[in-house]
Amino acid sequence: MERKKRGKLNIALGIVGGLLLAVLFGLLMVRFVRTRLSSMVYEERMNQLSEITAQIFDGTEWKISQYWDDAAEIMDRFLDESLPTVDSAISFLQREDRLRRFEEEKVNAILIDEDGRPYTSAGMGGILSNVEPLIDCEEQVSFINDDKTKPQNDAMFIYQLNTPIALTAGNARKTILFAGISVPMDTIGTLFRSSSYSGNNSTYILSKDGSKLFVDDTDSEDIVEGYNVYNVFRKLSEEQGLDFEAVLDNLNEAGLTLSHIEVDGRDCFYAIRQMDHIDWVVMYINPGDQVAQGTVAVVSSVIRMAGISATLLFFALALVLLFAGRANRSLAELRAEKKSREELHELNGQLTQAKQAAEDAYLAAQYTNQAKTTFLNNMSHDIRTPMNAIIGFTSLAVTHLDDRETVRDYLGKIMVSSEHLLSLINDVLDMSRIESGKVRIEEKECFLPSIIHDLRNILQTDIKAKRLDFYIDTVDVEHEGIICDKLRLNQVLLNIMSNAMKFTKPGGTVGLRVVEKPHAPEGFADYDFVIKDTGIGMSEEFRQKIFEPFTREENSTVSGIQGTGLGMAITKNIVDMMNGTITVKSKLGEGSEFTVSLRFRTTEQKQKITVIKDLEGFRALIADDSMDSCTSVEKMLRIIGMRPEWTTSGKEAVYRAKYATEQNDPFRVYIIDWLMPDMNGVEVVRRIRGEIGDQVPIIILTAYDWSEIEKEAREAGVTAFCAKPLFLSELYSILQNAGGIAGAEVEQEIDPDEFKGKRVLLVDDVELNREIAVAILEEAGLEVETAENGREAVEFIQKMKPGYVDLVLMDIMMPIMDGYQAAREIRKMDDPAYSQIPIIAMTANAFEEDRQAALDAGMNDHLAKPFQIEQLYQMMRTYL
Amino acid sequence: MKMKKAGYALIIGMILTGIFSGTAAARDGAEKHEPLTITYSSGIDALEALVQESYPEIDLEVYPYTGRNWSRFTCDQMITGEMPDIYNTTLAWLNYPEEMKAHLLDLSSYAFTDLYDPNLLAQQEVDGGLYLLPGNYYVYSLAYNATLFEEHGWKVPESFEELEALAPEIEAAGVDLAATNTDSAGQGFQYMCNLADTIDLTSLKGVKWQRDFLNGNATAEEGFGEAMDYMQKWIDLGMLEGSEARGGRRGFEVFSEGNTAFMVGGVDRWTQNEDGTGDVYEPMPYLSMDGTNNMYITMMSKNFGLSAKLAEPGNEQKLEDALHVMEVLSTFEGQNTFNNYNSSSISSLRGWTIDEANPLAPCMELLQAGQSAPLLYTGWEGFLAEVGGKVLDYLNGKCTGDDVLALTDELCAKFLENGAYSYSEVDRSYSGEETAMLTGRIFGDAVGADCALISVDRLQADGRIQDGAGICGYMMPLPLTDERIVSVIPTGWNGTIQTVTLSGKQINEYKEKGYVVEKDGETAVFPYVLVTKGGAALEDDTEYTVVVCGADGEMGAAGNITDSGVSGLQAFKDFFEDRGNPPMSEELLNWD
Repeated sequence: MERKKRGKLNIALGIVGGLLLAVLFGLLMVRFVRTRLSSMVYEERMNQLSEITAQIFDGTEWKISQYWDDAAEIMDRFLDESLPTVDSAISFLQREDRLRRFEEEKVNAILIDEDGRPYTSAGMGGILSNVEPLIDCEEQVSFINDDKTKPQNDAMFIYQLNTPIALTAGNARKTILFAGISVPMDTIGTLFRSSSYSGNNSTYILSKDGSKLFVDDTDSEDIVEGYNVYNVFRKLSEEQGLDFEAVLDNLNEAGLTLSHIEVDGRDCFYAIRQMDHIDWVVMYINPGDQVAQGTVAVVSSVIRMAGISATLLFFALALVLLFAGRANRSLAELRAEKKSREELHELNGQLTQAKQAAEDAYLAAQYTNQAKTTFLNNMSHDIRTPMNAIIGFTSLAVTHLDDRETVRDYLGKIMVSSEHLLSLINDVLDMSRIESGKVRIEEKECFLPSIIHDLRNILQTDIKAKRLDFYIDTVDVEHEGIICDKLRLNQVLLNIMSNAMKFTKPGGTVGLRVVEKPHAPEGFADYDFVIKDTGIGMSEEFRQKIFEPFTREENSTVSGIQGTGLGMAITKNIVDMMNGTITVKSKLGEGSEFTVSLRFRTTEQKQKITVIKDLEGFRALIADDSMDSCTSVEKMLRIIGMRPEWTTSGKEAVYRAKYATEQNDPFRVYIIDWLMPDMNGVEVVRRIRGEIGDQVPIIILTAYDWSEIEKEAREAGVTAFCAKPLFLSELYSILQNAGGIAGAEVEQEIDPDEFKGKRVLLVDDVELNREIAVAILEEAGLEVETAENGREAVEFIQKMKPGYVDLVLMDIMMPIMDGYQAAREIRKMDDPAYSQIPIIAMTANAFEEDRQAALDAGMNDHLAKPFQIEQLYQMMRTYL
Repeated sequence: MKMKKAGYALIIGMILTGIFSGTAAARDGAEKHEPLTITYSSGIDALEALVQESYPEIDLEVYPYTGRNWSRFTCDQMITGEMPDIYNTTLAWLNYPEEMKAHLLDLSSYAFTDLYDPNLLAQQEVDGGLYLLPGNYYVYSLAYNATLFEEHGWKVPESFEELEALAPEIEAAGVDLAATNTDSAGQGFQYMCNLADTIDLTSLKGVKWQRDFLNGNATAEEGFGEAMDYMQKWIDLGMLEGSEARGGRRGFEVFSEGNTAFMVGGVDRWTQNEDGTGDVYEPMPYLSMDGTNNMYITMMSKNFGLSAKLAEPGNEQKLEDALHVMEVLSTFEGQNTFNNYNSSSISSLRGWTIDEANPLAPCMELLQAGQSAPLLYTGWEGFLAEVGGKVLDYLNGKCTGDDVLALTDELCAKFLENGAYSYSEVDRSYSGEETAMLTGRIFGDAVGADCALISVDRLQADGRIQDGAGICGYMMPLPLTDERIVSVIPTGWNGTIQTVTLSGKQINEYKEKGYVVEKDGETAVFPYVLVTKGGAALEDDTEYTVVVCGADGEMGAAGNITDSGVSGLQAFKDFFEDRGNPPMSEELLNWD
């Protein structure tokens, strides 16, 4: 009994003692953790402050540099304009404000005269309240102008003109000395305002010695009161034993400094940054309890938890030790039980996973099966349809053999259906090859303008047939030489463009835009190929699975639009193989936009683009209703050294041509879009010619086939036509020939003596093709011999006198012997006079594969059908 | 037991009563702190009352100054550091940055600075510090008699060309065209500058010229040449005239008779009569030839600061009180307590909008459009008085415009080489009494008097009545220039020495009584300093010629006050120059 009592007492004493020790241990742990974590918390706060302020500061720095860029551009443009009057200067400023969309930020382009009087789009203002900064300005100066006509002051970004410009205003004369922009401090203030920490922060724009330059009336917090923030902080630092001068030293050294201080009893964290592009210092300050709130809360919780945990742990340990001897189950039994529980749990997990995998596979198989069934249904329909047409029209043709016209019609339809059937089969085969990994990307040096122009040529017929509104342009394309798989790239773009045209009704719009994106690594260029249409669009549900094989929006039996459902899958696969991305935006009934993003290695430009001395400083006028086209061509003309201007109105183009002539500063080159809404391009040309005469070149720029209007356009005074999109190298080439037009799509007069005495062997199995080619060649002064297939061509060469024929134009797809084989045979001949003969392949295929195959067969070059006459002549010149 | 309890209750009741009554006493008559001093030319009741609404323990005392050169005197206070606790001056004195930093407190870290227009503060900043905070500022303009204009249906001209066209019409109506204030030489200088402002003095070219001229790198002709030609046009038209043309009468005195169209040089008030009745006057800008550059001239009327001595150990309470006063002075109500200039001025505080009843309301449109120029003073003060005097001579037909320009060049060159001309180097501060002694002997010598009775102003609680006839201010240890002489002597720039004939007995009686000034039913007495030749005693029955500064009506009746015609300023200048410009010393105080 006595022992029992003693035992119970011991237990009670043990529990109490353990509890006390546990509490003590917990308190010690809290103190320890707090000490260790406080510096980490401080670090974390500084890091967070640094990150947030970096965003604000970097963004503001960028914007300020943009303002300087705008100011410099306005100065340059003003100097270029050589305006005569104050009124024209104000019009110039209005235009600059409009073009740069300054109104949105209430920014103004500004000129300042010798009196210190500003000129803006609103007209002439009163003398600036403080002209002192301008007196000391050597090149550029920024200062704050106290304009009492406005509620807030303006920050001025001003450049001094190298050459003062005199303007007349009635009988008076004003000399402009400065140009730039004025930005309301309110607008600048928005750059610095931050909603971080629920807006519990203040940002100050200070002079270098700490005086407030701007008071933000929207700042409800206003943590630091007093005109000179540095002096406030000096006083507070002295009271708090801090070293503010060290903070400023750090700022002077590093341009950025972070620290903390107590203001009105609140611990505040602040960052000060010396701006690079303007003589300001920016301070961002936050009450400390707002900074890294989450972290502080977590840390506090951790500290609390640490203390509680430590206490409980210690207490639990004490209890465990106390009752350890009273355990009535062996540890081994416990371990064994635990182990079998764990094994059971693992087995359960595996079974669950296996079950899930089986279910997933079943669903996938069902889905695939269903998709394949759908595909087969569609395919069988899509295959039967053209097959029926072929069989049907063949039968009809047989029964109308005497009716040539009818037979011709039926044969035409059979051809269409055959081509369609072929494309269906090709798509299926392509998909199969892709999925089995048989398609490889083969990259070679390519010329982006060629790719895009070829694409346009291919699409031209269908565009015209469907009466679609078509645009094709480029944005910021600097790198024209790239290394890519031209075949696959064409395939991708053609697929998407074909779909766009297929699903867009007549009168709709289809377009391709090639954008070169900035910040690509050295030696590479990033492009976005954006294909947009105003067609039927697609539902959101379909958009999400458009790139999966065997899927289509609607069954072709319903929509009437034929297809395999593989085109997009093929496209996606190719893009993936090219390490690119493809995305689609679409709205049902409104149209779709596909964006293919690809990165290519770049090659050196074949032609170095520099300023064209003969045109340097001369004005050029661009007229196009697409502002993107205008700005794109404008940039190119600037690079070439001209002073370009642009307008989206044909009528305005005529007016400006006249005005320029009157000002004795005429435009040296005109680039006019053909189809503009307010006035047709040809009419614009006609009227401009009426003002300026015949000497100045006027180029029509268009994405469409201009052959129908070419005659009328030339009569109106058009000098040349250029196909969109216009690339820099093309523009350079066009303009390099003294503002004349070599290199453009000009039908130069062919000198009949140029090819006099030269003879060409034309090899083509199609009589019609032979007839056309012979006519073209003979018109150029060439003599022509013909052969109907490769075998005939080889025999002709073997039998002819050496040198009789100067060049062979060889079709590829011919019966008996194709062009490749014929070329190989010729190249094997012993006599170099035969074996070295230049052989040019002519094919209907425009792809790199074909060109390579021609070269591999020993041919010298390759001409894709249908070829432009000038291309043929150029080839003749090269090899004859 | 009951008695004990009652006793305890009584004691407790007494204690409680004592506590509560003590609290009430504290509430009713807060224990006053040591008064703060402030220089001003009249009473500061309004300011004191405003301060005491929030801080009843703060008292103010006025250090009086009614002298003729407030700007110079207060500037010298700042240069020497001999200033009251609350420093009150006109301009910001940015040409004395080191002196400002040495003698004034930097206020840039105090919250009340956020209440000001930061653009104005930026103009007054010295190396990031703010030593003076701006009060209200004046607008100098022309004025016209709006009542006359309305009666005659005249349109207020908006250009000099329109004024030229209107002038014959005005004269045909039998009305005088204009009256001109020529109270001080400084005004002459300002007219030249104001007209130059309407041409190009505020432009880029003009500001650069000012800088170059004051550095000796440009001529007066380049900056003021056109202005002098333009001034001649004003003179020819009759818009500007010298004092001799109106028989020495004050311009405003003539204007307020009601038959003059325009006033040049400012009005004493915006109505004909002091009680607000009579003709109404309105401001208009200085006109440019074609009206495209009409200008108002602005000048800060007040700038406030705190003496750096307040930051010395032992002055903590005074510093705290002074900062409270600055808080009050940083409010519209506080600044308006100093509005004794016709209640018309512009505030320097943020968020201020003009009351339509403010006489300067018509100026706001042009002011906000930037059609204003600051009064030209800083950098020119070394010689502007002489130039201004020459302009006044020009207005009186005594010289040509070219003479004015030539003198300006000459004085600027001299100033750049030697600084302002100094008649004597003052070795220490001389009290008001000592300055009165010097004035007495110099004036007495100049007019051949036997003695001098010179009244002296004194530190006052409220400053409502000040001695405007005697010595206020004092000589400070600085070079004694024209401006400094004028700032201490009662006769100012143009005043002459007055004498009276009194017996020795009368003189001694007045000396005892002091100079009595009555104002608004109140009386103040200012002590006389009696200066006699060789310090000799006066005989009761002998009549003496006495120089007097501060004579009341009784003295006038008794002694027939006579104007000697001798300029007080000239007497001072001659005194030192005749002695070879000796340094100031105590010996010179003795009339021997």
